[in-house]
Amino acid sequence: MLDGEAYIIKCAVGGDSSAFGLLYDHYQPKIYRFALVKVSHREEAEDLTHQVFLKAWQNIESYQDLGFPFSSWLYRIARNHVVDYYRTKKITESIEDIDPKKTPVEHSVHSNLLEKLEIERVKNAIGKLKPEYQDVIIMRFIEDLPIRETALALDKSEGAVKLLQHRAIKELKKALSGSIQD
Amino acid sequence: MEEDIIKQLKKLQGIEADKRFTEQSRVLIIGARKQKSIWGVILKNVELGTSFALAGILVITILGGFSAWRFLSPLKLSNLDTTGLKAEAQAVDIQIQLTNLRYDEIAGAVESTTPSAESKNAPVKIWAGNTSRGQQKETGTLATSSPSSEVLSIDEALEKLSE
Repeated sequence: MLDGEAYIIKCAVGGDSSAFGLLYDHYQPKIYRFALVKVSHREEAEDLTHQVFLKAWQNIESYQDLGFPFSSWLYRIARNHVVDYYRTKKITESIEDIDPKKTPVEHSVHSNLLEKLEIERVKNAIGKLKPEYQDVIIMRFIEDLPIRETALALDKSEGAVKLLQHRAIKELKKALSGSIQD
Repeated sequence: MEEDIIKQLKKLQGIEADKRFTEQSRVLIIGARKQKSIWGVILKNVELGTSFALAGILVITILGGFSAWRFLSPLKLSNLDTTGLKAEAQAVDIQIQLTNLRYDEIAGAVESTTPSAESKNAPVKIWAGNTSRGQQKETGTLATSSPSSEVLSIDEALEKLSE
């Protein structure tokens, strides 16, 4: 959470673009990672991230601080955009059929080639999971969101999130062991 | 095993968007905010006012509709002429009575021309037999055989009745 986030959000709701800029800087990497793991394509993840923040900025007046974290609001918008993306896009290639070798190896941050390949393998294994398992894994283990915040973002109870988390890890194990055998 | 997976997942935290994309996107998003114009605010207020006015009219129409109908209705039930209606109803009754009276007169006249119990059906015969000569004769004989002092033919009886 951003320092003084409540005040920054208040300013942004009032139309202060620099305040929204701060929120963008803080949350953009998280939303981008979420989008990238969900769609597996860098350009499309960038487009989705842009659309999420554009929508958030255009509708920030409707955001009400009811004790919910701002990130859960953003994740909700992101989830809706991902759903729309898969609904409208003609998928000529199933996500499960994507060859890890075809997907671009991410960024300059990862200097070690082996590490890059490992990241790609994990990312592709997540891509094979059900959407709600993907959401839980990204939010709980990649973004380290607390259970309450994850539950709010996914519109589920905390108990349901714990259950989903357990099942998601179990499925991810299977997917990763399958990718090793391949 | 589970810890290994979680460690691997943590490595994904290193994924970042392209810096150039981030800068461009940031500038575009912040610049894309719609500025609220005065006309927009006025239009929104007008829309709100119109919706309230329409809602008010609807409520007034529903609540006052029945009472207004009494004045606006072309039927105007409150202005009904009851005496006229009564007179009309009485006139209808009179006509019925007259019809019955006329029938009774006819029946009485015929009965008077056929005194015997044997000729109970005579009025019917006379009435129906008015069209043929043969029957006229038959009824004529019947009439002459009656004990009454005044002897009437069928035609005469009918003329009397019609008077």
